[in-house]
Amino acid sequence: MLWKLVRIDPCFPWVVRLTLVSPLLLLLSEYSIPILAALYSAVVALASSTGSYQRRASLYQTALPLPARTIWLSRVVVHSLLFAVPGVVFLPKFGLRILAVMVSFAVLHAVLCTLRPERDSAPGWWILVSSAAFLVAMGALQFYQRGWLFLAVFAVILALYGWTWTRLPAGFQLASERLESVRTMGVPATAPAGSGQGWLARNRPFLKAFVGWQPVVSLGVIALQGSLWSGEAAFTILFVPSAFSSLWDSCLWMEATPTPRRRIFAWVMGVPLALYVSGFAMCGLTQRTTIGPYPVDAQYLTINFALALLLLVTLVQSMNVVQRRLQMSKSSGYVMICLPMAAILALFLPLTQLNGNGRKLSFASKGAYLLSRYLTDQPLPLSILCALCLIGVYLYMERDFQRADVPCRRQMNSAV
Amino acid sequence: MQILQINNVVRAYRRGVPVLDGTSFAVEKGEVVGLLGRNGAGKTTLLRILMGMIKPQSGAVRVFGMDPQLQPVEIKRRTGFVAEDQVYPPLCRASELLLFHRSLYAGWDNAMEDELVSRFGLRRDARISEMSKGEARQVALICAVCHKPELLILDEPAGGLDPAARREFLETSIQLLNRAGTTILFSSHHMADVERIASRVVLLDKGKVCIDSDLDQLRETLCIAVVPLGDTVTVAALEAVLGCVRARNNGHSVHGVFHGDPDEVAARIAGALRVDPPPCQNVPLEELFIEIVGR
Repeated sequence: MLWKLVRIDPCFPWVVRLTLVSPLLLLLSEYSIPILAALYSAVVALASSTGSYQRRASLYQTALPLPARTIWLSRVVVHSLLFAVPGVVFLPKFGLRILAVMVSFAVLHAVLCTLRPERDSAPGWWILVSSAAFLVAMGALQFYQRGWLFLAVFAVILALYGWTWTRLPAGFQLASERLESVRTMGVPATAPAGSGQGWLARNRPFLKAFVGWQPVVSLGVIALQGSLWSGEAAFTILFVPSAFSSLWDSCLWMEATPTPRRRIFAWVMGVPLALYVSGFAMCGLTQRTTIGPYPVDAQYLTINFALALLLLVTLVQSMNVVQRRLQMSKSSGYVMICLPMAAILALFLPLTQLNGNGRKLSFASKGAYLLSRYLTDQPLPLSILCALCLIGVYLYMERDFQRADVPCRRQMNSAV
Repeated sequence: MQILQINNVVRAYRRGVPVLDGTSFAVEKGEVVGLLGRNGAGKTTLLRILMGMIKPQSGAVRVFGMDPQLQPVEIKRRTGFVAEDQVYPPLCRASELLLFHRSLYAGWDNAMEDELVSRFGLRRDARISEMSKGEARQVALICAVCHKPELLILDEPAGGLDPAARREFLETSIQLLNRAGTTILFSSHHMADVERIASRVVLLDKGKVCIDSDLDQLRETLCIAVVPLGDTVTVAALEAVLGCVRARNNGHSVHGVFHGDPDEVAARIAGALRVDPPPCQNVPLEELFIEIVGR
């Protein structure tokens, strides 16, 4: 029964995908630890959005005639596999370092499993505390890979699981018994009808579309990963877009309002970009002074990774617009998103024979290194040209977005 | 024999804002009960309390004589449940889901499963993510009924479906009900569906049972009077008239829902308010619903 429950768990497909991808990553780079950590981040974020990762059980699972503990156990197994499968693949090569990554994410999972987050009943402070605990554990384990620390973390994880096990009711609850106080709102600021006055009033729906705990965690993860190894931060490109994948959908209802489409576009494009810049600014303040085998300074990395990622995110978001504009299927959209990424990597392919300090470098190390060196080592006119190209891409996409007759495929489907 | 007993149930999500505020009613074996109410009236909360998914803060609930909080698994074994937002694992194939449900219930009826799959024209190898909303709901119905539940709980089961899919879904439910003698409790905003399926309606308003009546009796015994506003005609005055269930101001007139024969009610109003006998008539369920729970 446990295996059947595991098979139908919404997060199980991610276990399969990870199992398939992990050996490929092992072949790809000799610096795979950061890649793997970034991969974990991405998987947690993606599984969270598609598989109700943060919930102890979905509505479907709660309706099954099974004890809550059985369902909970199956979820714990799935999520543990999520961390353990790629970790086991990497374990022979990286030993304690990969164990540290695995255990860090196990802490995150254990903390999440103690919550009662079904149907928004998890208190906000607990989510923040659990996020902080995860980051502290990850940082501590990365920097101080001591046996006693591993044992201590394992003990905490076991204690959390045991505590949750004893507290589980016979059937899952979709709402907490705890009652929230009703906030009494003051009289809202008013503006003359149709005037559209007040920056905050006009932009509040946009702000509310992305404000949440994900940006806090995203920034923390970027900064922490950047502090461990600068190249790793580049792979958080997987993490942030996944956390913001719903941003488009959460803003598209404004299409039906007299909100300028330019503003919608600017917000949807701007939020991930701003997040990246902030994240990498933090990364620059905390990172080490080497990128792989290359010595670099903090300022160098801050500026260059921010710029390089601006380029990548702009491309990804642009492809997102194209996909929606052209009414393509989701799979075609993914292909179109992957194309520019592949093109960027292809640019580096002829340079893969580059050696650093007399030592042959891995593909990913060269990619991260060259991407950052590319933007600083260019003469000023070329940098300006790059910036103008970016602006041009933005304006083109904005124009394209403004011209679109049908804002998104989902709306079209519902209309049909 | 009472399958469901709900006594004075109170449930709130926020302090001082009860969703259910002393809800009480019971359902006999074999009854088909439509649970009505405006958005936020507490229908979904009540159905989830019956499934043991939400704990009431006070009051008592018994399903098959058992407490859903103490014996949820036993209750779920004997119950089928379909909710509007009950999302099945999107990558699961229909065959995998059916196989899984078959393994959960001892009384799974393979013949019924085959019949329904062919009737709906479902592909067993199709994934949930590849199905239309209606097809996914049909899979949910099959999963909910093929173990021949004694109680079927449907929470807005046909919400979001087109009229044809909705009709097919509900007709299947009725046929299965007739065949197996299942008790059905369902919530819906489609009054036509309620009139077609239900034998009894329970109307929730502000967390309380506002009307609990046999459907035919409801149509025959309730009527609506439309009284033009005047010096003696106010909402309060109309509500004070004998047999008034609810009155509301509708601009130039006051609409009142009354128990009794229309002619008799008109005479009663005329006598009490000293006005000409107002027009009174029996109306469809939808009109009654609007008059009773409308603002």
